[in-house]
Amino acid sequence: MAEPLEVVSGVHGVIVRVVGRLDAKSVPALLAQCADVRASGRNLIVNLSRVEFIASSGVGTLLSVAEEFRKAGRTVRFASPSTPVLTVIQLLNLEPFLPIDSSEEEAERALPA
Amino acid sequence: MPSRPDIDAAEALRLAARREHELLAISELSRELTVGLDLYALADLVLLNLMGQLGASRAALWLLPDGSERRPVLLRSHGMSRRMADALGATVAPDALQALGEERRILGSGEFQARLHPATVALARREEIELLAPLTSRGETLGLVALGPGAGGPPYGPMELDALQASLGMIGVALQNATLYNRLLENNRQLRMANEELTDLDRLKSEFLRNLNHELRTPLTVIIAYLSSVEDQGGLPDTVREFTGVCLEESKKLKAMLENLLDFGAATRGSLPLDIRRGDLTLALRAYYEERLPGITEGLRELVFEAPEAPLTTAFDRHRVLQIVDALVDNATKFTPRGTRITLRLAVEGETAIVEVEDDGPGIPPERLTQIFGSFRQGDGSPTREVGGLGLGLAFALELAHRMNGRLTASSELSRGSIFRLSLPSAARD
Repeated sequence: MAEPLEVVSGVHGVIVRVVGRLDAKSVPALLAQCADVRASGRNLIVNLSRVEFIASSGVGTLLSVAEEFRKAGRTVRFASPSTPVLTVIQLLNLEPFLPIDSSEEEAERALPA
Repeated sequence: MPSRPDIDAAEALRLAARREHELLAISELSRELTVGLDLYALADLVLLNLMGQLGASRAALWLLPDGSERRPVLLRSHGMSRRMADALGATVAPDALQALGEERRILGSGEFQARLHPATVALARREEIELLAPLTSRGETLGLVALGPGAGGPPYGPMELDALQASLGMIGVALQNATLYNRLLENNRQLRMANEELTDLDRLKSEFLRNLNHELRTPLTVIIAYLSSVEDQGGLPDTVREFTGVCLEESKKLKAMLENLLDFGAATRGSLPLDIRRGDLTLALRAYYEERLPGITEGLRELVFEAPEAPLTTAFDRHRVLQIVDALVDNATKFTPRGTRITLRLAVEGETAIVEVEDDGPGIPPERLTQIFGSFRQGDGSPTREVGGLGLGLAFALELAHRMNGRLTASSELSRGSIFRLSLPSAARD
């Protein structure tokens, strides 16, 4: 069974890949990981391509992470969201608030150098 | 003109999908709220769910503490700084929150001015709070939730507020259950600590009683020996003889009291030896009565002995039974006024010997009667009490009765008197 989070270092920031379900059980780890990146002063890419299911608490986590990074003057990008994630983002009209890229590479390019 | 219905149909589909999303969020919340009882983890879960349900990018949750200082305490905030959320909670007036809770009313930002303190309104605007909602459960206001505006567009409509109200109801019950359960666990912990402390105190008391033997009885024995030899010498001046006699008498009283303490310590440790032999209990009690009669009469109290004519043969420890009776008679003489009638009575019920000490004194108040066999207690525990002693007599008597498989009970009626009843098993008439 794959680990729910994979963390790798990118060129201009840290890449966190979420695997499987993003729900009440898995959000504490994602929140903690994102808080660590924010505290380190680096930018963040959250890769959502392998998210099979997203609960409301998962959506709330993405919103919280985006707001916390914005307030800290850092950048967060959400790369290649899976269909379940994209559906809910579109339903709630969150595209202007959650910056989405079609791939990790595109997200990397969008990060400030 | 097909365009108009098409737009309406698309909008209806979007609204239906949005409604489904909210219902799913409520359903998820109801499952997730059973996950744990950590209030902070619950607050996290609740806020993230509500943010995901409504598309809000910021939220905070405060709980009202117990006690008189009822300012909301921040549990968690997302998308807003902890310091600002703390400050916002501190400005919320308890009565304003109470009123919102009673109405179960979700306040929109347009109503803040009319219902909240100006400092709360200013902070809520600064943090871009769109909704403030009370948390309630079973008619009690528990806390407050704040939500920022929806990140994706127009202000919240009636549909979103309906869904929020349903979620808040579940959240209130879950938080109250978690609070009550945590309180129960804490009360249990405190009880366990208190129990451990009492066990320690009991151990210290036993150690203290053991130390008495060496630390007090030994020097007292030496003092008595020297005083006795001084008294035995001839040719002493009268005053010296008199003073020595008083010192010797008081030292002997002190030693008797100390031995009672040591016996009590041994009895509570279960190490008091018993010397049980068959004998006539009537005879033993009559001898005791005759020995005590002069002293009690001299104190202007009447002592009466009632017993069957026939001997009562049973197995008993003469010394220990008389110690119990002595404690009961002592108690009756100490706590009754002059002129009181004290009856020492022996009877048989089946195979049980009953020894009673009854007085017609003022009686014992019910609240003190339940504590009367406790160690280091007297009916009047105040420092100004009139009667001296260590308060061990009845506690020791009870321990002795239990050691002999007997029972010792007390009953009393105010203004009518008290009866102490010792039951000893295996009695039989010859």
